[in-house]
Amino acid sequence: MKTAPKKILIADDDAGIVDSISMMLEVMGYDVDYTYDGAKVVDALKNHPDLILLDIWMSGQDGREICKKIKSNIQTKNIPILMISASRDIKQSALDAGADDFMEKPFEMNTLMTKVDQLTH
Amino acid sequence: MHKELFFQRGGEMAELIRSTDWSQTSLGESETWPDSLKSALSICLNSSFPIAIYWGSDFILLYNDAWSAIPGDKHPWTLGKPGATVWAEIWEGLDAEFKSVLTKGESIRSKDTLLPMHRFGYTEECYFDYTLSPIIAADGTVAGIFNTVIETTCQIINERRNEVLHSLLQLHTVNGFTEGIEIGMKILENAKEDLPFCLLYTASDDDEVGITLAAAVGLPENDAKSSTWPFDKALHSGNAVHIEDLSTCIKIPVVSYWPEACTEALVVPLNISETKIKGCLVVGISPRKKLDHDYRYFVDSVAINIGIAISKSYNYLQEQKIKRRIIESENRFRSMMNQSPVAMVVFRGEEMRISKANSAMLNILNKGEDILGKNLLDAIPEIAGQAVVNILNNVYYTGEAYFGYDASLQLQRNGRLETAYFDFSFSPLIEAGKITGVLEVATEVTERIKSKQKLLESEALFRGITTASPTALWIADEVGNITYVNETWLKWTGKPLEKHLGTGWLDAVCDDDVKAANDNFFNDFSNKRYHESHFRILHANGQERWIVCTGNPQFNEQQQFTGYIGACVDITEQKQLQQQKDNFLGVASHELKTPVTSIKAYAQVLEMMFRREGDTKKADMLGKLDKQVNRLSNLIADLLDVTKIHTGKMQFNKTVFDFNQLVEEVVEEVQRTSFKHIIKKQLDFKGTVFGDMERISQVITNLLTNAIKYSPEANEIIISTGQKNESVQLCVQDFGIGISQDKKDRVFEQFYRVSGTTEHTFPGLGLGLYISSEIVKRLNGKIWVNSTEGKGSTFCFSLPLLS
Repeated sequence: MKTAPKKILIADDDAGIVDSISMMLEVMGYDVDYTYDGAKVVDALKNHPDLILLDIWMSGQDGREICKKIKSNIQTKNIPILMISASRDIKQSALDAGADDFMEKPFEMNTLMTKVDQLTH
Repeated sequence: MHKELFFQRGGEMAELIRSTDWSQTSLGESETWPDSLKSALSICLNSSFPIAIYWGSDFILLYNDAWSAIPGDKHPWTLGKPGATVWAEIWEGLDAEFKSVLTKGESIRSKDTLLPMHRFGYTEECYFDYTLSPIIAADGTVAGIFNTVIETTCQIINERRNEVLHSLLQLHTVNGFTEGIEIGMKILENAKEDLPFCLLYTASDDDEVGITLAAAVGLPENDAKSSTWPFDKALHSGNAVHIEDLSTCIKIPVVSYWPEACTEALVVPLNISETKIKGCLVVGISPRKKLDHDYRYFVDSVAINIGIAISKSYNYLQEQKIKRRIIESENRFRSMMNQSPVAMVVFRGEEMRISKANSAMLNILNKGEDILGKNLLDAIPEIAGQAVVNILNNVYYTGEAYFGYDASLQLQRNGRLETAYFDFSFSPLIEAGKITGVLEVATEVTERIKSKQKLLESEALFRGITTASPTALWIADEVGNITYVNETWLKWTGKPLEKHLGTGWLDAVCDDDVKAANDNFFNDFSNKRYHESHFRILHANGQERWIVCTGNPQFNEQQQFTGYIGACVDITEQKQLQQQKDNFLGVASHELKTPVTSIKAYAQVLEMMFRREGDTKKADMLGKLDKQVNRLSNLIADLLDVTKIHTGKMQFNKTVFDFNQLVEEVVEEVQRTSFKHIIKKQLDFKGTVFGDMERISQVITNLLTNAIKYSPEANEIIISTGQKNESVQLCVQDFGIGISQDKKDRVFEQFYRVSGTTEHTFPGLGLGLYISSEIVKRLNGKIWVNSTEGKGSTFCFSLPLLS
């Protein structure tokens, strides 16, 4: 029996990233939801995503704060978060904020797929 | 009665004749004596003059009281003896005279005749004035000789001695010591009868050698030198010492003028105590003259005269010495004045006539000797009206000396009027209580004054320059204390100079930077190397300002370290610009990463789709696109790293990891991108390292990709690891173009790229090795390269291991 496709929420203020990553994920068989606005990330959790790809910097909003908020909420804390940043130096603070994993831009799609697969199972 | 008559008077001798038994003599009984004898004897015995009668052919001797002294201690034995017996020692010369009188019947007179008399136990030098007159018998023949005699010994000898003493008087006019002794001794040499030998001994009071032989006559010098005399006794007593046995003082028999050897001597101290000389005259005593009062008196007189000669010559010498000293000192003064580097001139009279001027003075005045004898204003006309003339006149009229320092004077020299400076003195010359002139002693100090002025000028110039400078300047001494800062620094800090001296300047440095500024300064200082330090100071306007401080060690001519001279520049603006640039680069590279990520995603999705559709050609092209994007993203990463290094924002996430495994992974990844080169591994290090794994992997990747990039002709790269002491060492060897020796160390500099014709062949920003070296350094490791141009390079780094 075919299981329902995993739902991935992409939270990034860059349309290019959202578009290209969504395309990749859809090709690979994932359902993709997205938001450009950091303030709307928590709202988007109503759709029960299996994984959040969270950009570290979203038009004035610190991704690590959003991460902490999600992880501190009992209803949402089990949703895995893969944090993405152009700076590798953010990695430790991202993990400290509760992110399950971290990826530095630019990255190989293979790497992304491996991590998504791991985090959604 | 007759008998009674001619013997009646006649003193002792008459008595003696009467009591003598004449019967046993050739004269027979006195009663039988012929009348001629009796009458002659009568005259003889009644005369108070010394008279003797030699009677008959054997000259039987009869004499009166006066004559009895002549044979000395032989009297009265002599009475009635034949002449040849009485005068055995001199008869040889007398015999002919007696016989001549006897035969010829003529009288003989002999004046002052030396007849050495053996009397008083020795042969004495005696002189006689005598007559031999015939006594005519009744038959007309000569029956005997009537002898009147006067002994002139004393007279002759005294005259002779007086002559010697008189000759010695000439010594009183002789001046030279040597000359005096020579003349004196020559005179004494001619007095051999009284002075068989003479030795003159002298010594200076301060002469440690003691008394030594100065002259000798009548004795060979060697004999004289070997003699020893009781000088001390003579000098201490002040009296002559009589040597009665000469052999105690001189071993050799001393031949005298007389047939007998000399056996006695006198050591006479010379009375010359007013001089610094002491001395003794040693004279031999005639073997034929008793050392009687007269003899002693004579010797003493001789000694006195010799003493006078010595004193005189000594005094003369002293006078000469003093005269010579006066002349010498005059000469010395003259030559001193002439040679003196100090200029001197003597002015005479109120017209200030130049009577003397030494060459130093003539040089200063730039005048010749023709000014001597001229009046001041004629000799040095340019001096007229200058203050010095009044001063000079004042000294002349008041007699008060004047001293001037750094005084200026206009002098006509070398064809133009020059200002010269002098230290000088004017001293009045006073003769017989009257001021007769002025002595000027001067030293020219023009050079000193001028250099002082120049120094002042250059100091003023220096201060002007440093004050006007937008750069702060500082000077430190050899122990690192600040001794000077310029106005600019004072303006910046708003504090006075004294607040910055020593280490006070650190108070102006912002708290956060004080330690670094201080450490940097003293590190460089103790190594005496170029100093450069960046820190912030609190500006007088309340702002923090960035400054860069540089300085160079200073060495004097002896190469001794004297401290630092340095400058500080306000680089706040540059810092801000640099900050902006770094921020921009940081933001820019950060922003570049996002589109690159999108491009990669699109390309990879497309590649995947084409591969699924079996369109390998299109898929391959998209693969190539992806690689180019990777290159771009690597460049962006490098730029970002450099800005992080500049801003000090490079972070390290240190963990313990398996070094060997990391190397294996990096090699595998790089090998995947390179088909031509085989990367050979010699991994001898097995262990863990504590550090930023990703950054270390970045360094290894950089070394490997460089090795591939710069050895296009080769097909092998060797990577080796090992443990050296307390560190792990990794080397990457290639067989490529290599690096020349002079550029070897520059490869780690920012933006340095292999230059030359091959430049275009090796693309890149020139940041890779710079970033690698910064990473290694930040991890407390070392990075270096060994290379031979044309043969290849070996890049190595080492990282400390945790103990």
